[in-house]
Amino acid sequence: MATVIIQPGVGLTLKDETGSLGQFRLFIRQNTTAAAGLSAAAALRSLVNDLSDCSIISERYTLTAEEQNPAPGAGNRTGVGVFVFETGTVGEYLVIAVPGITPSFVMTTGPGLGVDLDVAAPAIADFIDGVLSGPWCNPFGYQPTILLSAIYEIRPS
Amino acid sequence: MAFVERPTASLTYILIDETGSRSPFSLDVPQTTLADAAIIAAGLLRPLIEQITDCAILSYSLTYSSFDDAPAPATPGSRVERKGMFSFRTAAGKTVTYQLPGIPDGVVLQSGRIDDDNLAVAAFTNAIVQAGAIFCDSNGVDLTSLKEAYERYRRTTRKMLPSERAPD
Repeated sequence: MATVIIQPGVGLTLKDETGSLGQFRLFIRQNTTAAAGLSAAAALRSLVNDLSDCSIISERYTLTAEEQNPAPGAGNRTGVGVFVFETGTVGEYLVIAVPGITPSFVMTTGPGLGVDLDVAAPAIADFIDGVLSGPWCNPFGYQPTILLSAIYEIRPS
Repeated sequence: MAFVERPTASLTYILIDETGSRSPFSLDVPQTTLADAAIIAAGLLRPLIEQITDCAILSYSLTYSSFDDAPAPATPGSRVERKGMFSFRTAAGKTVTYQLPGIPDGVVLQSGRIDDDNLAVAAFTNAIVQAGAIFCDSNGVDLTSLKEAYERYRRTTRKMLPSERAPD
């Protein structure tokens, strides 16, 4: 099982007179730096703007890494581990939902029986530490400081 | 009208379970995080995720995005279903086609072919195939020349239906 960076891509979202959205995408060479990719996206936006009646409303630059020979999946994705972290700002939280959480991490004793995840389990603790020590944040840029809760949810398809 | 960066870049893992069903799992990083650093961090987090989920990780992608905070209105008569289809030859001898929504009347000839002598069309295609251009196909192969360009109408999907359809 090996991971390969496929290549970066640039995408533009366009909007027409009726409000309908359309997409335009191009791929970029694999060893292109993010700065060059973003610069290319801005240049492309200008050229597309001259060539389409639609209005460009957003652009994105994406890097994708894909497993060359992925291991077969196991378990069921409907069992989700939901981790809620406090940030340094009151009222701002980071919520992470991990699909297919291993059921053996669900508490089988105590008041959290069947709901809470066992945060003392080494794998769970390692994941929590990985989130707290990494560059991660919520969609508004607030970074997590401490775990508030970790629970098990069933999210049907 | 100005493009504004979102405060964060989004990292999305795609997981697959034993039934073949896929599910995403997203995190964000501050927009100022360098892409290389974010990808490295994603790689470090991956085995920690694999320890706590029964699913397998198929891929992860990092997206930096920005949006126009005051977009100019679209040209009257514009329709995303009216596509400009641009086919390019690749260095591997294959062809790849990209579609551009809302191609205007002014660049389409009577035959339905897109006028490659039009200044805006030429600037667009040259930016993609010129020496030193960084664009490529999905396999990372360079795009070398324009093969054909034409107008094509695609069907309207449910999402493209006008939002105001009731009579006034």
